[in-house]
Amino acid sequence: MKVTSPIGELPFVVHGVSLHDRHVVVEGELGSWRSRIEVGAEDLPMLGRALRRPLIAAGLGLAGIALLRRR
Amino acid sequence: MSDRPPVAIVGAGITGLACAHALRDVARVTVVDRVPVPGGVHGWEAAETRELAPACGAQLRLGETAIRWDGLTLLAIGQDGPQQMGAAALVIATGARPLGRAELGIAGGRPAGIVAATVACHLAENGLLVGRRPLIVGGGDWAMRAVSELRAAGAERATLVCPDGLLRERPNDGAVHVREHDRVVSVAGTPRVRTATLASGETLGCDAVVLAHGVAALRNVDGAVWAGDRAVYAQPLADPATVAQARAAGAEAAAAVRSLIDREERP
Amino acid sequence: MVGCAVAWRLSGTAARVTLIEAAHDLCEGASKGNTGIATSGGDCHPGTLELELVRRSSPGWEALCARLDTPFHRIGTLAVALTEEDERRLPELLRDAQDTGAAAEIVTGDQARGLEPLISEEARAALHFPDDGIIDSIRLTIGYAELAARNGVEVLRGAPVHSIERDGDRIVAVTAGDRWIATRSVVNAAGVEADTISRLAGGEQFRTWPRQGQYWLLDRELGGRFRKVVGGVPTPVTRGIYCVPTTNRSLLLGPTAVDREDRTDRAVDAETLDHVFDAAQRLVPSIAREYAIKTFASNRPASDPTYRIAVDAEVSNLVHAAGIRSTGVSSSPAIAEMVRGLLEGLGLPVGDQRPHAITELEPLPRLLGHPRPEQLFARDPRYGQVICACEQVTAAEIAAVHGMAVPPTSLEGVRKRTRATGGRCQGAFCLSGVSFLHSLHAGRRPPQIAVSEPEATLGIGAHDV
Repeated sequence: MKVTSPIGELPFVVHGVSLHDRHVVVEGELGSWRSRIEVGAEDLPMLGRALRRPLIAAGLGLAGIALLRRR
Repeated sequence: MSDRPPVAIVGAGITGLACAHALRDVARVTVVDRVPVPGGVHGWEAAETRELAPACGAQLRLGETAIRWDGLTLLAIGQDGPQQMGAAALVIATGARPLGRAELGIAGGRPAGIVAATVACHLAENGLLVGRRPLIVGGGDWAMRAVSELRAAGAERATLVCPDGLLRERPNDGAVHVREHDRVVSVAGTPRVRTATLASGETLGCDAVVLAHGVAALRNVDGAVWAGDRAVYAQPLADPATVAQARAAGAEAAAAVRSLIDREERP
Repeated sequence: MVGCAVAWRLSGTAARVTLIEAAHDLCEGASKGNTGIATSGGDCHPGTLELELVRRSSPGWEALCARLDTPFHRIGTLAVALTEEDERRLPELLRDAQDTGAAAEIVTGDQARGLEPLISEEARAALHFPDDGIIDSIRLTIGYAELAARNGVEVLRGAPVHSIERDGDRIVAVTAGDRWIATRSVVNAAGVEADTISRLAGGEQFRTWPRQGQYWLLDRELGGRFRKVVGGVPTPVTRGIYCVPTTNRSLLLGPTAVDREDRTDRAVDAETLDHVFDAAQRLVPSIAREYAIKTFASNRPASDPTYRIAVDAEVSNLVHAAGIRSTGVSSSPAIAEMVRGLLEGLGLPVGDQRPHAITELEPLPRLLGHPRPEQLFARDPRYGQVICACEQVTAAEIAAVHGMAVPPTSLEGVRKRTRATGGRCQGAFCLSGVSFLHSLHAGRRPPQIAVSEPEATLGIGAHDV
């Protein structure tokens, strides 16, 4: 999996997928950065658009990082 | 039998990895890079990166930024917080950037729309086009990449102004105009750039000026910015910088580190 | 600077204050482009209002800056005599300085080099002003406004004043941007446009014009070695060119002083820049072009007379704080107090402090040079994410400034509040990362990211083309 980010295209390696609280949680690494993506039902319409908007996809990735940090 | 001394290398591009590889028998090398993947400007998917990263024998601390060197210890900070690394020598292999406005002697105001080629390319990859009619200063790899990425992102036309002439093949693109052996002397427009005046006297309309000319080393480890105590610089300052040049610069830095270490070990 | 200082001083009183800025952000004029010297007044003219206000402001900098999270260092200035002629003028300048009340002494060339080893061997003597200081004028301006805003001052940006309504000899309302604001008084701190404001109000006719200065910014590897502000011997016309180590240890060279016509002209030219560089190099031979990061021009508000701080002669509730040409930074606290006094004289409720008024800002810790980075990381793990490597600005700091009472609305705004993109690579490696974080925190879609004014976007959406 690849993520386009403001610092370039990075590999995203998935280590695990689980379900928490009706969110799909993808744990992985963005390069060597620990990264986590939480996807809920509310994200589904955005996801369709996001696949055509790399910056938002990167935002999901980086938002995942931000979420991980707050834990 | 003495333990191998620790060496810290800042930059996990080909230069840094090649340096680590050349030191693997005489030092315990740690390579630090603020980007979470190795490969630097050549990229994590390049054949050389895939070959060197696992084989270089170094501990890779990727996604950490080296910030301070005091001659004995390197401080880096990343997702696990600050890390101190003792080192007998520091290698700076942080790569290069195109020259900035002041370095190029571009007069005029400071309107929006004037960006380094590195920025223009990052933004284009993320779906943001810095200008529909960009003027790109430079004739090497950065300039060529900027021209092709901006055209691919939707620039209507581009003007390439090459102070040292074209260093790569002329772009096969009717919407790209080339001015060889000329340079931008001033810009005008507010709040966004509207014109650029060349040394030849011509004034061109543009809505972005992309700086892709010349090479300056990236310097951002306090205590080893220009010169540093027991710090060695490994920068193949060339645009285009080839893999061969990067490997050579890495090997050269490794040799300098070896003599530094030998000097210290001899009583 | 001046407007924000006045707003700060009035905030915390019972008055309801609106701070109006025409540009997209505060601190866009001379306030962000100056030498950052807080003079102790030794080179001001005795008997002037300028000197009085500078002298009143000078002793309080340490305490004020501590409250406004603004770096300040009282390092002193050396005005260096390189020629015999300069040297002969020093005793007279010393007498003038002593008349001002500022601490001043003449030192020999060797003594000057003892105080500042970077000074040229050609220096014969120098005038030393030990109480001069360096200050971060951007953090000061924004600090004033931030504290004002937290005390309830309404800050309007991108709101140029269109019209001022009068009833007899009093202003009753101001229209700025898309707002109509009824008011009991107007303070005119509009810098180079102060004459425009006075004209719109039907006040006294005076002229303000730009006094342009061109500057170089040099690397902190050089600036960090300085111990003193180094300048030449001032002439009756101009203070001359300085080498100023800034509070973040970079080095400023400049300014020139040329009265111009075009208020919007902030263009640098090679000839002027060369002149500045040469003058600086004569004072400090270590200055070299390889350290140059940036060149810029800024326009100080000149007027005749300068320091017009008074109630307008025609409009009874218009208070001018205009024509503050060179020493706006150095006199801002005292200007603010003087304006408050004038407003009090007009009957406005600016006397007592409200009991719950905030008097200091919580400092925002920054990674660059911090002695305890592990403490920063423990406070916010985003301190581990360095975004601008040249200035070592982290994601934590960028996030924090977006939570300010007067947050950035542009990349230039992020730079002013954090220094990200302002370092030696000038954003070559971090501008895209910084713009991404700004878009995230400010809630802007990428094509809306502004470099400065809203129409000066970073780019256009590639898919919209």
